[in-house]
Amino acid sequence: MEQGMCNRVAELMREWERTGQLSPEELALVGGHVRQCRRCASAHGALLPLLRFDAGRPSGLSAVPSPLSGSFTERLMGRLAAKTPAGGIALARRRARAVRLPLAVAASVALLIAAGFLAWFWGLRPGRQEVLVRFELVAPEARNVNLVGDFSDWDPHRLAMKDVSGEGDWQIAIRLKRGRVYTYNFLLNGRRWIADPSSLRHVDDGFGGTSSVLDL
Amino acid sequence: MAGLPRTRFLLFLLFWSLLAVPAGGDELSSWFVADPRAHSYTGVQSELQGLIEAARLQEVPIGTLIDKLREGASKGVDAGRLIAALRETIERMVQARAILEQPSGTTAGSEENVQAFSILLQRGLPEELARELIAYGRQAGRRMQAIRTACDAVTSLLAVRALEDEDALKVGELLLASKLPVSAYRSLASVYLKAKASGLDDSEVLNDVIIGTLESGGGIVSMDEKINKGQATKEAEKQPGGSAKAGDSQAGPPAEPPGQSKDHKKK
Repeated sequence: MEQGMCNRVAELMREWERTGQLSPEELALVGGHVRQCRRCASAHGALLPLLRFDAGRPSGLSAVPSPLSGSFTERLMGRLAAKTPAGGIALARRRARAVRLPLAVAASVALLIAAGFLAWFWGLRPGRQEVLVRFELVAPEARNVNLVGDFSDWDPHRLAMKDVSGEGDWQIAIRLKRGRVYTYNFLLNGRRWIADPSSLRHVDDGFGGTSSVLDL
Repeated sequence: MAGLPRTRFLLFLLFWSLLAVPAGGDELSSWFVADPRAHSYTGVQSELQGLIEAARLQEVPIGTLIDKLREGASKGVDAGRLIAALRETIERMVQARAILEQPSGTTAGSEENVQAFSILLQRGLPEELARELIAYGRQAGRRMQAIRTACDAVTSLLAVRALEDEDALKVGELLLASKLPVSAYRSLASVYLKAKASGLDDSEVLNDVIIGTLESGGGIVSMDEKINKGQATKEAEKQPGGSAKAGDSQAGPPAEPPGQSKDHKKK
């Protein structure tokens, strides 16, 4: 007898799953049996609030549409359609557009930031593009020495070297871009142009002298 | 109404592109206006302008030419020399651009590459060697920076030793085929000089130290080790009864039997 009721409840539950419908009598039957039968309580007890909802009874739970039931969704959409006034669709579209535009802008900005970060991360950041280069010249006879090259627009005064030891050990360190080729000279006492004696790379400057080459 | 912002945007783009064209196309005038050093050359401005425009037509990077003018002005050269130097620079850059052109018609390379190869040609890199190394490097899938640096290494080597073209090409190709870091290519000329200073002869340096090491997959450290080893051997050979001979005596035939002296042998 008990087994027969269990089978009947299981059948009703399957029917409810299929159609989403359950009469108040059937609900009472299922509810009554689930309260008495431990096995059916563990199998179907959690679904009782949904059964009550679909049977038109008040439920203690919020109305969460069951994925098993198509009726709730259909009813909800039906009610929404009934509540939409004439011209409501156009208004809704306008609202949707008003929401979509800022969203698109925000997404674009986020995309740009992400792309910028990736570019920075993968080596396009200034720190990786530049390299610190130290130039040295031993010239005890010089009163002043300037480093002059295409990195300083050949301005004879922009990069003054410093005598670090006070004995003619002239030095300067500057940041240069990687991947570039530079030509340069040392200018002694504002008059004498010389190539870097410590470099193996020299070219005729076309003006009767020699320049040094730095390929980074 | 929806088209209005788009139209405004297009007009904005058009405005800026119109502004950008003369700004990018008149570097020489900008130099004359902005740099007091240029004032000495106002008499030849139109001639310089003609050269710059001709260079532009040949897609020569103009920035490098303006740099050459700045250099000449800083060094205080006369107008005639400035024009001659500019002309030579343009010719070299056109030549470099032609070398960088691929037979398949791909782009000639960046401004930096054109400038770099024009300087390499000026430093003595043979044009044909440059072409072959570029072709080899591209075929091997190497980046232009690596090819450029290999060419630089070979050029520096050529500056300190008169290499046969065949050997220079072989060294360049081995560099590009090796797994050496590109920055290490530049040490090649220094390695050669160090090897020479250690007393090794030319063929030893080129064939054993440089080519041999690269062929066996070694790098600058291996070359250095070979140089040190070679130097030790040379020094040992120089010393009478040096360590090399001492080693031989240990491994060689047995010493004289006891009781037999050299005097006895002479008898």
